[in-house]
Amino acid sequence: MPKPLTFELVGDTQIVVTREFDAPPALVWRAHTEPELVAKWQAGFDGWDLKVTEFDFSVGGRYRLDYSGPDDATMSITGTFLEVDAPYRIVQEEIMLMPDPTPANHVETRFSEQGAGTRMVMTMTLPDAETRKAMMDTGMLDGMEFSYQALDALELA
Amino acid sequence: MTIDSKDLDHDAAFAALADPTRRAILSRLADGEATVNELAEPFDISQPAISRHLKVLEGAGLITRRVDGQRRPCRLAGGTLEELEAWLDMLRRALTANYNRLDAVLADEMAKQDLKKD
Repeated sequence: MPKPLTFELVGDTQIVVTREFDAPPALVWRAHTEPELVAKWQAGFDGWDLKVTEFDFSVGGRYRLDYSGPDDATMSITGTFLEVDAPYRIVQEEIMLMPDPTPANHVETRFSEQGAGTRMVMTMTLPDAETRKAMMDTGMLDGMEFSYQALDALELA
Repeated sequence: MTIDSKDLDHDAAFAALADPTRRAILSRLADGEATVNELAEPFDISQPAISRHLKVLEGAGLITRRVDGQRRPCRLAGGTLEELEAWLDMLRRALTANYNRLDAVLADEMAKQDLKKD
């Protein structure tokens, strides 16, 4: 059984996600910061492919993830790393291209030792109501619908 | 899925959903219309407190109230809640899928490290 994910709304602009992993922070850190490892797990929904086309993991460094899904659907995520404190904390700002850009989403990811494993707390701060509206208006839900159903089927199986 | 969100106040809706009592009220209203008295019953809080929560939910466009004699029953407003929840649910599912895959990547890397040690 996969470990549970908690997903909470905090205040009026934040989403806080927590998850534990059976690996030490140093390894969880590598999986978040080495592009060849990132490519193996950040594809989102099943049925989508991910290409990591740019990944400069350094303060001020930029990254770009290009996704392609069912029915020629595409989307991209681009961002900049703002703060890096190995292996405990990453702060980044990112924009989704759907293909129109959404306003920037500020993401802080923290890792801490939890026994032999790692506890992750990721705080996503959406700057204002317009951002969320933009994200919801991008048609993201339409584009994801196919794989969304595929996921339902998978969960029922 | 067609989304028409030009009339919705997402900022207020998001804030309204962040409170556990308000989420419980919405979950009760999903079963049908209810009065303040009926809503206050399962909670250990006063009627005025429930009324304040209802005002927040109403302001966010999540519920509507109608006048029925002395009563002002509440019901879920169509659209807003489903839309916001659908978006959050989509994000939650994408992250869940990612981290389940990450578990496998981590297990792989741990195995490689063990091989190197041997």
